[in-house]
Amino acid sequence: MYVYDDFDEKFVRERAAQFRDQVERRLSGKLSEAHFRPLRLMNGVYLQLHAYMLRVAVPYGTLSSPQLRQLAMIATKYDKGYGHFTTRQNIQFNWPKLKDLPDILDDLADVGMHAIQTSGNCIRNVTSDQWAGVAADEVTDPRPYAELMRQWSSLHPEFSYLPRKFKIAITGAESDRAAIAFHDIGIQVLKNDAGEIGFAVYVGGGLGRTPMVGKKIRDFISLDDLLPYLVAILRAYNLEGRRDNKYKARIKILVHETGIDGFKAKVEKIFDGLEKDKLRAPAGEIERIQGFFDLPNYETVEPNPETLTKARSENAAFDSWVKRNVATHKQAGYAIANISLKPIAGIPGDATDEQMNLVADLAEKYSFGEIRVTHEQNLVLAHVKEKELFELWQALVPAGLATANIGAITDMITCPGLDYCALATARSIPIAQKISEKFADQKRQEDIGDLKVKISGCINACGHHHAGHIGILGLDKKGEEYYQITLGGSGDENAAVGEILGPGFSGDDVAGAIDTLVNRYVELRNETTETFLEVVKRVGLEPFKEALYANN
Amino acid sequence: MPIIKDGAIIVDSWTMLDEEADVPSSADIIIPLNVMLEKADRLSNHSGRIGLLIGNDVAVEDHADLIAKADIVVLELPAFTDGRAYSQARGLREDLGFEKELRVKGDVLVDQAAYLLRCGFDSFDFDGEFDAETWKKSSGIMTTGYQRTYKDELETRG
Repeated sequence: MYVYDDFDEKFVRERAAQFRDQVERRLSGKLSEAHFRPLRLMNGVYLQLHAYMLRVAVPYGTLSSPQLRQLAMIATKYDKGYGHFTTRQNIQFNWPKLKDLPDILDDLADVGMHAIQTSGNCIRNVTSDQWAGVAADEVTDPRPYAELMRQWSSLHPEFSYLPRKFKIAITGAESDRAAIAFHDIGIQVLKNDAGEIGFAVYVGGGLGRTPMVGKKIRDFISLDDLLPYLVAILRAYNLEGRRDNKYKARIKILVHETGIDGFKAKVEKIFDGLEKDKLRAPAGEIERIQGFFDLPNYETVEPNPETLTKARSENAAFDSWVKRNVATHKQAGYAIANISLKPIAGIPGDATDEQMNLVADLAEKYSFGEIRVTHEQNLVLAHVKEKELFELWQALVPAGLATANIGAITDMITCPGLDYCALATARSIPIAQKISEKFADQKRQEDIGDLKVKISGCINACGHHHAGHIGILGLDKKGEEYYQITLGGSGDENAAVGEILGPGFSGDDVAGAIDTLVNRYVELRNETTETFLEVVKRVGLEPFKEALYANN
Repeated sequence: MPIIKDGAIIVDSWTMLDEEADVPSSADIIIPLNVMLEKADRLSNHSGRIGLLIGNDVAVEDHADLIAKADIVVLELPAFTDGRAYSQARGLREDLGFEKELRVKGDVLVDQAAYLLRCGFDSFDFDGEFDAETWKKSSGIMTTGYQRTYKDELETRG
């Protein structure tokens, strides 16, 4: 994985010093909150309901063991002993004090990390496929390009006061695990017939109150032209994106109002006029970055070893975990082990300092000291020998980290909601907990199969409810929380926005309503292999509406 | 309002004219782009220097000829959160090759100085107060940057 050189380190140290100066001026009253706000936001500092919140960048979701230990240390020293992994593959701390924040940024710089642009109307942390580099269906590892974009976008002098926030995701695989269609810019790495790397570029996707699927703006942009092309898109947006209404300020609205052809014409005109040489990556830079993403030194090991088969046949819980949480690795004899942060009735995405320390240790022991954070708020050890899966699992069980539910109904994306967030209109976490309890039975979960439930506590859709096979949106009606249910959304390569089923439900009734929908799905499916989305596509929403509302 | 150049308040020789004002025959004037478009002929005999005030909604590349003749260009920052002038500035400097003075006028924050400088601005017309000490400190903390921009003095990689 990428390791900072002297230049990167100097950069983040200077940035931390700059923020220390800004905080001092804020605390002494020299800087007003109104002027401090955008400055702190661009360092990942929010003012939430109860306290400041710090969101730390985990670029494209990749962490080293020392980095994860440092995050655990921060949770212990400055917070209440836990952190929360987010849908942008970041981690946030909910209880730091403003006066401690400069020290925390220094602590992060010690391990090559920062909180730059995890908030604010600027280019946010670039996200990617959590299985990058190891997925069997990958053209190439997208992370070197993600790192290039991280550097290019960091403290960008031109694009730090955009109309609104700007999110970029990149994948190198056909199966889209990075939800690129729901990003301001989505990028798919491709190889042309000549074997050259290039990128399909999508623009104008997003969730929020106006969900839209991104539209393709270029079939294939060369590696050389990637950064200039991004400059052209961002410049068109910075100049023409709406600034009169923050709810219409994202690029998706500009693309929608101009039409993709009209927007593309603007971008191409700017692109043609750009003095591109200065905007490209410096010579040799991409090769330098790529050097950090060479595959680890895999050993030659026997695939599907007998020890694994034996352990699976003797231990049903382990077998369930392998079925749900272990994915195919491109190297024979190795596996991708997914660690669920969705224990039954737990808080989705939360991890304690002890759990973080344990995962850091296990990563060193079993997975070349590398950890991935997923946008679905779980962790991944990406290079585990199949013959060591059982040992790994045994170490995870006592820490509450062996829940066998990756991709299952209890593996919900859930925003922090009204328990923390200043924007929320309803609580999300207790809803997730009730649903999790309702579907706790492992056998039932396995019978239901893959099913993505996503919960947002307000229209801003941080919990990606639009992209949920079942989406839940928490709203407020005259002081009462209620929840709208959508069906048929998807965040993968067949991206779709879910449709609202009908009147909402009270917090007490949501889990029951989900139960009804799932039972209807199980009745309707032709075979156990027919997925929830396939059934919805085949029968439409009516049978589900009928099941939910027939008695009312 | 104070005009800042090279980190200090300067005495400015430019007179900013609004759309209604009569254009004097001499003096160094800054006039709005649309006045220039209307009165270009009459201004050809102007004995002083002429600068352009360009609104945020103008595509600078559409006025390359006028800009090339201008002695100063002023771009506006109606609110410190409005970043359009940053893009216009880079377009002017890097794509159109504008080399004369480029000024930003409006709700400038001291903490934005570094980015504005990097985008090619070299003078600042502050709406609010100017604190030279904070300016100096704030604009000098970052000595490194990942992007190469107009006359960028930061250390970059490669």
